[in-house]
Amino acid sequence: MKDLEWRVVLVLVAIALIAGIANNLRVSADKRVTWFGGQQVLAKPAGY
Amino acid sequence: MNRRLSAIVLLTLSIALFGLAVLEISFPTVFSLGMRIQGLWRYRIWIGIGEVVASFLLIWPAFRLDADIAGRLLETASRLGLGGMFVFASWFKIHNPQGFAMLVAQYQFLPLWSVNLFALFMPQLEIWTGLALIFTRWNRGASILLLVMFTAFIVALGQAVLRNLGITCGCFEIEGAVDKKEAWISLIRDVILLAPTIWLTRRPNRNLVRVWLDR
Repeated sequence: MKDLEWRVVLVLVAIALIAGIANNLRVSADKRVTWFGGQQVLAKPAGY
Repeated sequence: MNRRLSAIVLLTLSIALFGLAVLEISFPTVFSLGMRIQGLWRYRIWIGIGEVVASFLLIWPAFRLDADIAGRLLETASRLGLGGMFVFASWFKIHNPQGFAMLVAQYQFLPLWSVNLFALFMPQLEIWTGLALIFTRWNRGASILLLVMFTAFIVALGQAVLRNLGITCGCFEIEGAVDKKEAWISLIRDVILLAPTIWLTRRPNRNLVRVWLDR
């Protein structure tokens, strides 16, 4: 992979990181997540 | 001229078949042809796979007839299709990070502390990469990122299927798991979409207008 491709990949990753943080501040409280943490693993649906 | 026109017709047919197959596989209740026929398997995955095979078989003669126009058409369709799909797929996840984090957690693949961070980061990577593929000249970097994402999806889905976890793909909507077939079908779709993605990584860096203007 050329230097140029690496730079494009890194720029896109950086934009995604910044936009992800901004988005979590933008959305309503019920859709927001804590920065570090996870979610509950649900039981398998019946018949799965 | 006839060779060029024939190549355009063949490739248009190929692109239409491939697009239809991906739509049918992704949204079976809306697009699946087999839904109308009683007693057939719900998702009609074989129809989708058959369309993909037919689509690939049409590409070869199109390139034999006129490789130049076939390459331009296929690059345009692949970039618009894959880019558009990633933008569309990211939309609901960006608007509901909590719901998407819940789906990610069901994969039981990432360390618990990183699930929410991943749910914030991944949809943004999808939308920006999709936009870059459509609107910028950085085709190779964007398609390499798509390839990395598809590989990650395949690994995550594959391990969930093998471990028989009750998951849904969570690719295009926030919904609960329905059955195991759904996860398998999402896996097959991602493997199919690797083909145009890998092909795009070999194309030169140029914007979509340049694809048609370059000699």
